[in-house]
Formats: sequence, structure tokens, C-alpha cells
Amino acid sequence: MTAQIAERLLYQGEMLSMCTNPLNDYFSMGGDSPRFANNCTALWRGYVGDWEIIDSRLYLVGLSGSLEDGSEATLATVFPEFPRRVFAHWYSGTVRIPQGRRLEYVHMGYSSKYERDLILEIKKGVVAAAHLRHNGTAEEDAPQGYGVQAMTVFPINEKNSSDGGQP
Amino acid sequence: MNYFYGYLVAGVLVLMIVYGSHRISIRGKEKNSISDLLESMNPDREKISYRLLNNFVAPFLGSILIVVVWPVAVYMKLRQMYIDKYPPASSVERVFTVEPANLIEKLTVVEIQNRELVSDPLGGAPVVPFGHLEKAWQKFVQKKGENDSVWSFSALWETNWGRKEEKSGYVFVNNENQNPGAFFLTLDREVDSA
Repeated sequence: MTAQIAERLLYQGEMLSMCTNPLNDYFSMGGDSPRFANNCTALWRGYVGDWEIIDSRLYLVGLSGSLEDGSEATLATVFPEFPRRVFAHWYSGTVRIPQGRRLEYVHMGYSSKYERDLILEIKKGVVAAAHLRHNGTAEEDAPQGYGVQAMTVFPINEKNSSDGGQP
Repeated sequence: MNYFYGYLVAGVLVLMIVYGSHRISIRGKEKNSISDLLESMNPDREKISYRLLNNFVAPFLGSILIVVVWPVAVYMKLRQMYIDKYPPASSVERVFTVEPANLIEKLTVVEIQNRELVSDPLGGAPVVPFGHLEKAWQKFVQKKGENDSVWSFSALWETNWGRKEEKSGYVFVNNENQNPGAFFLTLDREVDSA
């Protein structure tokens, strides 16, 4: 499994990479899931969610992706009656936000390690606690911030051309 | 010499069976399997040399091999059939089920819906039981049998891969044998992930 593209989280005025997929829990708990196109090895879930924490509550405020029929997926695709903001009341667990320089790159899931992890403890969509975990100090020239080094993009259909690098 | 010819004829028969079995096994499978996708990404696939090697030379050499050492092919096929029928316990993916020890409290559907009412000051969720998952809940409740009661449950669970999870929610319990059955999850989190 290739390293995965992170979700995006707006937290305390800063846009951050979020290495947790709360929307997956919604789908596994019985929420209707559209058929996302899985055409990129770095994005097996088929979408990228935009999240925001407002007054200690976790909201899904945007979604980008493609469906298997080639159409664009938005927040309204999953939540037609809440196209602007969705309270993630179904989610309980941790949210991991890697920070600082990269200590170790692991080409699988969200396994790469960074100098710090901001951990948010979420209970039914509400932030119950937050703490910073220190993982070590990276070399001076180590890349800053979360990233995916390589991916392969498969053509969705014959009309589209392929793109990408090595798998 | 007759024994040798007989051996080869048996090999050809085995080859035909193996080929037929292969054709049946791939029938109806999705075209977009990983191998198909990987092959579609291979830029060499358009070359005549690639097609010759992949579509003719390799199958031909494989066929010769089966005819010559067909007892090995028979052994491997029988072994695969045995493994398919009796998979080793370690290879079977464990499936979560609610155990009687996980049960907490017997509740009515109304009581559950009252305690699971969702509200959000910014209007980001419908003000109904289970919020955005209300439809899934209604679907679950419709499956409740006449002899079922509904219980809350909480369980610690470990997957085949050693991932520890905490799961809780509501489950149907058969009133006659007290066995938990279908369940609805309200919490599914990894334990000690941080």
C-alpha cells in the first residue's frame, strides 16, 4: 500500500495535514457511500476531505474526489442536505496531525514519522483533549511537513490519459 | 516405450483439465483486477515481442511443463483444493460478533432513540436520533424480530493483525436462547493508537 494523501484540517487558523479518515467510520457505520473512483495508489479511499474545528467540534466542510462514473464528488454527494457543513458526531477516536520535519518515510498508509504529532481526542465529534507527542529530532535537511513521495495514477477510462510516477 | 507414451497422454489430459479449470475459475471475475490494472500500466504491452512472450511463449512452455511433470501439477491442484475447503485457522479473517459477556443493558427502541438524539448549534446535523446515521439506524431496527430484544453492548476486539479496537453500540438478543445477533455500531475506535 502506497503512502496516502492526507485529509486537510483547518485548526486554530492554520491549514494542517490530518492523518486520520473520520469519514471512513461514517461509511463503516452504515452511512451511504457513493462509488468513489480509486484511480490513484496514494488515494485508495477516492476522496480528500476538508475538515474544520469550530468551538471544539469537528466538521466536514468540503470534499474533493471523483466518482466511478467520472463525475465530480463534493460534500453534497455524500450529504445532500448538508452541502456546507457536516458535524462529525459519529466519530470517536484520535485525530493525528503530524508536524515538523520528517524523521522516517514509510511508503505505506500514514506510517511516516515526523518530529511531532498533535493528537486530538475526539468523543462523538467533540474535541475532548489535545496533546503534543514528541517523536525525536530530524536532520536539518529533512523535508518539512507531511507529504507523499510517489504514486501511480491509473486511467479512469480510455478517454483519459495516464499520469504519475513510480508505484 | 508404451508406458512413456501413456505417461505423456495422461499429461495431456491433466493439461486439459487444468486449462478448463482455469477458464472456469476466471469466468465472471472483474476485469479491473489489480493484475489487469498493472498490465494496463505496462508500456511494453503494445510491443509484439511482449505479446508473443506473454500470450504464446509463456503458455506454451507452461503447457510443456505440465505434460512432462503432470504428477506435480496434480499434487499442487489437489493441495490447493484442500486448502480452499479447509483453510488453516490463521488465514481466516476474524469477524467481530457480540458475545453475551459484552451486553450491558436491555433497552427499548424509544429509550435508545432518546439517548442518541444528535444536535449541533451550527446546524451541521439533523436533529434526529443518530443524526446523519438515522437512515442506517431505521434500516437496522426494521430487522428486529418478534423474539428479539435490544441491548447496549461494549467490547474490546483484536483483529488478525493485532489491532486492538473498542466497539460499542446496540445489538439484537434472541429472547429464547439469549444469543446476541445483528448489531449497530456507535463507536469503533482503535485502542492506544496515540
